[in-house]
Amino acid sequence: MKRFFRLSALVIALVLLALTLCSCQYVDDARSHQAFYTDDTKREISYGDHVYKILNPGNRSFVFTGTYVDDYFYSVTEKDVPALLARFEGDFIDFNEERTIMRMWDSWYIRDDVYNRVKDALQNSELDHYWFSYIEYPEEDDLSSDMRQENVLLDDETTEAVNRTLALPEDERISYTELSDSDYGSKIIYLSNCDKDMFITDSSTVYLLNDRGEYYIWNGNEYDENSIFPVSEDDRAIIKRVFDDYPDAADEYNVRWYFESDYYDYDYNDYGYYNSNMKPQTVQN
Amino acid sequence: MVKKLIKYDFRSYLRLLLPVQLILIGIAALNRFIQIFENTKSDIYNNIFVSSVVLYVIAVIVTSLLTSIVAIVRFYQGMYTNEGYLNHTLPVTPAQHIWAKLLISFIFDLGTVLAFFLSFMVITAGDMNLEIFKAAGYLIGKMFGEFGSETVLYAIELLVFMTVVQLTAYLMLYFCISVGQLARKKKILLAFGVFFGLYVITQIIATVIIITVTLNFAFVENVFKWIADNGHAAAHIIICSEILISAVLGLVYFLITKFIMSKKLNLT
Repeated sequence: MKRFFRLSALVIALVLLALTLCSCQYVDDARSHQAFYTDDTKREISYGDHVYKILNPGNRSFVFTGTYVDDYFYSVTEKDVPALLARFEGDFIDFNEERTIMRMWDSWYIRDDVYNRVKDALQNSELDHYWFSYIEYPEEDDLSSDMRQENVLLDDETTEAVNRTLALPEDERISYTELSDSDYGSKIIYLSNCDKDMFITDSSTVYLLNDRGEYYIWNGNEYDENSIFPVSEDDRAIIKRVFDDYPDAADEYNVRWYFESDYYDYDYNDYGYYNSNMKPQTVQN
Repeated sequence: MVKKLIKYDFRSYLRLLLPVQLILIGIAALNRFIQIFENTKSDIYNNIFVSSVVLYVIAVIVTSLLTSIVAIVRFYQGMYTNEGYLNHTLPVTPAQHIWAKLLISFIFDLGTVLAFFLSFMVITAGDMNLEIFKAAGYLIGKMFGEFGSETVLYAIELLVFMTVVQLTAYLMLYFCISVGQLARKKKILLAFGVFFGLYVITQIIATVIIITVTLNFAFVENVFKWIADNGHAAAHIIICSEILISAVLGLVYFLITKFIMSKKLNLT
């Protein structure tokens, strides 16, 4: 009998020991979503096997395009912060899909192996293309997919149509007062300049407008009531195609309200850069 | 004699509460075993896991309630029922009886807390344990960093506060039972009545004090200003005041209970 009890106690002890070696999904998730500052200057962050260095863009305004992983549990902390407290003690960060770029508020950290390439691209790229983004929502019955951000680079034909329209002489422009004055009178797609790879953009904004079936381009970089450019008959079909192909990208908007409202003295672009009088701001690190 | 009394009571409590605490730890072990098959995408796993967590929470509540109920029932049975005939003939004063019961109740409260802690360690065995200890160590370090040596003082005050409040709570229950046994019939009902009466009186007194104080705006403003300027001192004063008030109440309950046991014993 004693031997039986001793054996039972041994088995229970072994089982409990085995249990202590089991991992826990919650803890694994917490650890995998935590990055660390390498030192007090906070100019470098280590995550996984890589180090991310803060980017100094010099005099160039920039915002990176790219699909960011929408996960609010990534955080960067000091080295002594435990994984379970990371989301309370740390700064929130998110990544692009390739995990080469880390964003923290308006600071950017680039992975060490692509840092020089990105810096060169920033300094040397021509932002002569246009891009826009929109949120694609899952189908009503498709519970397995999440909404995701889609980025679209305008093709050369559409880019040229936009540039041609923006090159119209001043006397061919129209005032915003000629647009619809109903609350959601116009459909609008927000464009920004970018490089040919849609990797870097700036804070400029040009808008494609569909106002009661007529197409315009509104140059948001000029805070001028005559900054509405009518699209020519030749280019109408090209601009219309953008609205037809990407219906989710178009918001309903009242352009007149923008000019007449005191609230909008500045523009807030997609990545949180405030532009006074809609001029690009220089980001200093 | 008192030692034998305590020993006898201890064994009695152990027979009742130890199995409950072991069952609690067993349920925790079951929950941890279920976690081995962790698969958050599986509805079956999620249902079983949630059920086991609910079972654990119920076990915690039941264990906590049983500890208090056993303490109250043991006091009542030992002092005011047939068992009381034997206990009151022992060479033990009423005060010693009360202290013995109080001590055992408090020891088993601590035992229940230990059982909660052990069950929590079992349920989080593995990496989670490690991370919890890391987090606790970090937070304590942070508290020391922010409050300095005041942290030790707060910890001591908190321990004393919890001890005094718990003892006073038991003494209040002993008081209610002792007053209840003064009745010829329906003693337990009267005990409940006394308990609720005490609660109502406490609430009335507290409300009157709050209204009186808050109507004096200048005084309240000065108090808040003083608290803002002397955060630590204010916190210590508040905690110590609460300890003192609880201790005074506990003493009152103790003295009345002792008086009833000495002079107004009503064993039927």
